[in-house]
Amino acid sequence: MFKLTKLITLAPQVDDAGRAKLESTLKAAGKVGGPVVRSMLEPTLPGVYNGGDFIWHVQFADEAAYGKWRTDAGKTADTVLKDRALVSNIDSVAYEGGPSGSKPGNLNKGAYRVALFSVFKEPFPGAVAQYDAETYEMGTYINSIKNWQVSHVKESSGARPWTHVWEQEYEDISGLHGAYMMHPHHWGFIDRWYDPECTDWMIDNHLCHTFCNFDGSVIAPKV
Amino acid sequence: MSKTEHNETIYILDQVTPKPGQAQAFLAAYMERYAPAARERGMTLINRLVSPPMWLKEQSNMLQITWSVQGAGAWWAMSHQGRRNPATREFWESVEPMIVKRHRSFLSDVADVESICNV
Repeated sequence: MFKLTKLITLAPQVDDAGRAKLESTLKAAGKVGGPVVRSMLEPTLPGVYNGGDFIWHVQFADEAAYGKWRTDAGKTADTVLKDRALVSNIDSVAYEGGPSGSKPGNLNKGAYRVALFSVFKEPFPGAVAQYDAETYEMGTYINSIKNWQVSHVKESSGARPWTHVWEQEYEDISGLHGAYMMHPHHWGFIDRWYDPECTDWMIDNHLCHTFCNFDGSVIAPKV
Repeated sequence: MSKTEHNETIYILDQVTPKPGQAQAFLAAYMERYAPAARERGMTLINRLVSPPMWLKEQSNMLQITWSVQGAGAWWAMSHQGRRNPATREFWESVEPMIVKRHRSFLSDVADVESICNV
């Protein structure tokens, strides 16, 4: 599955009509059918960090389908996304979905979280592969993570040259704010990649951490 | 946040191998330029150990400096304050020429593992 995720920040002066125009255009461009396999446009929840006002996520069968969409419906979306009267900032990533996991229960509704990271150096050979594997492992160690996926970015724009996308789905937002943050796999193990005091530090401290409600998984295998 | 109150002792261990003959100078820099801000962000100094227990002139000592915080919430507060303060990063960059290798790790008493993982 090829994925496109955009974190969209509205222009400060945008009114209800402008917001409605943006939402309707993006929903139309992301309508399931043709090259679009799954999509989601949701307002972010309070507490995001560089997370924007909306998460727009569109999935395609493969990169070729994404390319075709870009020249068609994607172009229509660009007209509103490039309108500075509507949108002040976008952090955007396009990526082949990487290793993913899902726990029993088929969670299909709850809280979706996505983080964008930028690796700026590799402290030792193989560090990125190790980081990828450990990030994936978080889903196996932390109970509240029900669906998860870590991916490498192919196309990036925004505040940093984003290299990684880390997506998770929870039953509700407490799974992110509680177990995800409090589990020792996070603070006692994997955070060293993000910590300037650790010699494994390799991820820019400017990151995007954002979340929203979801109705219909964008991570679990499509059945 | 988790409904369970987590205040287990979490240890922050700096294992540092200074260049030969520089262990005392490194430790002095650490205590003068790193420790005060560390205390301000909630870290409690537990001990400073040196091996062998003498100051080597021609070879490297190995230092182990251990701090603690109480609970994961305090750990995040400590860590975020360190990241927001450029002086933290600048300290580690400034002492790099004195160091052969170093490693920071986070530990707990084995008796606390079950509780710490119960989030």
